[in-house]
Amino acid sequence: METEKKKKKDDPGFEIIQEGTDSGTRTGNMHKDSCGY
Amino acid sequence: MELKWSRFIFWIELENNKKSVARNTLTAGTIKLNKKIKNEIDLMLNSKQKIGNMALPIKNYIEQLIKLEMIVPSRLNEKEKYLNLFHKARHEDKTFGIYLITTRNCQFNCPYCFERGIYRNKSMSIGTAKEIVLWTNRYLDNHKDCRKLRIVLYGGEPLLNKRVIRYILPKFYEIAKERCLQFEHGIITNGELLDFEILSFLNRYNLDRVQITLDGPKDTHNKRRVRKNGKGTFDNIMKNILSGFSQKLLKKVYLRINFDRQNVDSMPELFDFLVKHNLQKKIELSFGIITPTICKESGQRVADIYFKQFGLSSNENADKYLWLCEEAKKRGFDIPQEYLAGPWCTARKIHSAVIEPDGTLLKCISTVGRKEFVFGDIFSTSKTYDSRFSNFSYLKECLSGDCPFVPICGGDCRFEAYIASGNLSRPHCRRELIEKINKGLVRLNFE
Repeated sequence: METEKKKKKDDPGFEIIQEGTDSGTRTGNMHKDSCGY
Repeated sequence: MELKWSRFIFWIELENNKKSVARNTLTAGTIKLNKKIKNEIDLMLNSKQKIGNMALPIKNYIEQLIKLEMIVPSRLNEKEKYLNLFHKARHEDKTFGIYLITTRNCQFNCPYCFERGIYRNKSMSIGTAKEIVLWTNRYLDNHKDCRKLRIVLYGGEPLLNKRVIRYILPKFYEIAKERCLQFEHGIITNGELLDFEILSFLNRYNLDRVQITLDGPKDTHNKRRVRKNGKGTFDNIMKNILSGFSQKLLKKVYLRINFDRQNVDSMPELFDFLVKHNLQKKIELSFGIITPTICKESGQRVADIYFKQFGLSSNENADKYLWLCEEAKKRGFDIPQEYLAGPWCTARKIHSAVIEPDGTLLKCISTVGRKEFVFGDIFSTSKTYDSRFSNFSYLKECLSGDCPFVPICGGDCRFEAYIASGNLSRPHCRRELIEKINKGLVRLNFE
């Protein structure tokens, strides 16, 4: 995903795999996996 | 301040239940915790201690989880937060998106096509294309806040009307240039006519996305993606894809693979074929779950006999989807991080329209050729508003339960809702499918 930040490791018991995007902004493509076949 | 886990996270257990992974459906943020830390955080949240009084390192973990919106204030109304973000994102989207149906005709006769049953013999004329250019200019005059123009060529098979594409694409490009808008375009095509000549032309105008469908290795694909004259299409499509890459006219192909009982088990053979051509990193896979559709005026389902024979249950679809991802990943393909049933598509956007060959206007590409979904035409309106696709009351119903998947489903596809209930505004829930696939994808991506 465009705005995903880099994976960051803190310690073996607590790992941030990805921080994600600003909430609510994952608008993506204009059609979904279920359209356009 | 009392704290709680966000309602928009879902958990899966990994490594024999020694670790838990949480994913936030609102942000796609993802964390992995061992059981001990997870239990300590749970205890801390239940004790309602203030964060300042918490001991290290739990305090640090909780502070990080707050930043990631995984832990939120107990008093936060997350339903309201989601609805506000949904409407804000919708209003702040400044891309004017047009799906241009250059023709409803198609040289293929795929048995599962959602456009079966519509009147096909309709292609756009240069005269209508000229009117569409004027209409686009009028729309942008009225919406000066738009920052980008995005065109998707679609059909039928859009490349059966290259004449209109050659006329209108440079016009759209010029409109954007004159107005200092960003411009990009894409095409959803069966790939059979995507030769060097047309690909070179499309590339002159910032070609961004090319979606082509292959439904399996040659023999399987040729049984499904078959020409009206009965001939197979695999070789021509592959020739065009390989030539596009070697000529550097294609950077990436979004490969749609529609699956059901008829073809799904043959897919590893297709992956092996693509690997043989070293296409793993040049292809983005998109697995399409085939669903029933409707016939033009009657509302009667079409291809029902096909679905009875080859359709999969929700549970089977989820299992097969994940199996395909697993097989693809083994061979070095990237796989999706999440399966989005929504929440965004052209039907829900404000600045968007699907333009039919005769200039009539729709919001949803799945409704091509269905008169009941027309909301106007380019000759009589300069708006892209259809109240039936702007009623989001079903979201409140979705949020009334505890489902964490609402942000990646958005109340589900409106066309699916219509197929199920005859009503575009009714809630429609496929949680079983969405939950199983998304949990499986977290496991496949992060285990």
